[in-house]
Amino acid sequence: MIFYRTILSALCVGLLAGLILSATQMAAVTPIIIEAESFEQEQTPLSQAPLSHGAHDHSGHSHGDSDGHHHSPDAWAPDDGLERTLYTVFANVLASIGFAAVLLAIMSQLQLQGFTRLSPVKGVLWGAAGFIVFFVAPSIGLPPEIPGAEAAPLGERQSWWTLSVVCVGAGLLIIAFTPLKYKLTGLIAIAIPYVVYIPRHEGAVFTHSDPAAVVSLTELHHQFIIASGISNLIFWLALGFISALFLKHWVHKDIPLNTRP
Amino acid sequence: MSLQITTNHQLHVQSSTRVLLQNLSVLAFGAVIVFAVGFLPLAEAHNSAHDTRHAMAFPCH
Repeated sequence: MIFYRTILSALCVGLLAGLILSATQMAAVTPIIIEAESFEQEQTPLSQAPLSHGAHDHSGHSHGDSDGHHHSPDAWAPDDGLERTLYTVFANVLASIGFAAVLLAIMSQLQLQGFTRLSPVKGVLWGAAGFIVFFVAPSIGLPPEIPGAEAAPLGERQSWWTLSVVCVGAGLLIIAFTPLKYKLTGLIAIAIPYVVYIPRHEGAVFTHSDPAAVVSLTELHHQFIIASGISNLIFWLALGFISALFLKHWVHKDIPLNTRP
Repeated sequence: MSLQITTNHQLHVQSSTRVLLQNLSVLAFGAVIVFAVGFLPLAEAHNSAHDTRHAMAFPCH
């Protein structure tokens, strides 16, 4: 019963928060991604023209063909414009459902065990914690990237992303919900990913042949970090708030809750 | 009396284990979705979720 209700809640919360995320993203974040890609496309004739001379019948109309991805350049990709926007909204909602399920499961478990008594305000705090765990923690080591940025190998960055999320998430939970004597463990957990290893790219972030483009891309990159930060913050605060409402009014509506002494 | 307490206690432990398992399942469900959207290496998945990955600070490319 709890499972069924929590999953359904995650679908609803994820849909709502995912649409909020899409709105802020479309307003402030996606334009920066598109602009950064325009630099990659400008560079394409220099780097790829000799390979594809003459018989190039699909240049420019598809995102996957023209944006300089390092892998599978001929794979299917949504067309720029409405199709790409719809796929992005879909991916946003999907990711949002996943984050909602993670957040709801932990909130629900801790409330049922009497560790916390949730309210909408506490829901916003949980959202802030989610923002710290899933956006700030990985971004400290691996700042949000715009297309065209050089970075360490993808696999290493994905592993480190996971490490930072798990360590900072566990650390915050330990600090918030365990007795004082264990709280130092939480701080150590938070420090682990930053002390142990951060995959770094040696050399310039942008290797565009035109120095003016590098200046523009660097400026875009700074704008992107701020814009994506604000967009994700709004998303997470909304996600936490709506999650607390769903837990209170539906998932736990007929379950007696005890607070731990 | 003491028998009654034991039974209640066992019931409580059983039901709280069930709740924990259900919440862990929800957690796993969420984690699988997040990893699929953020990390799935299939080119089609990457291209569909490309802007989401960048905007949510998942490592991309």
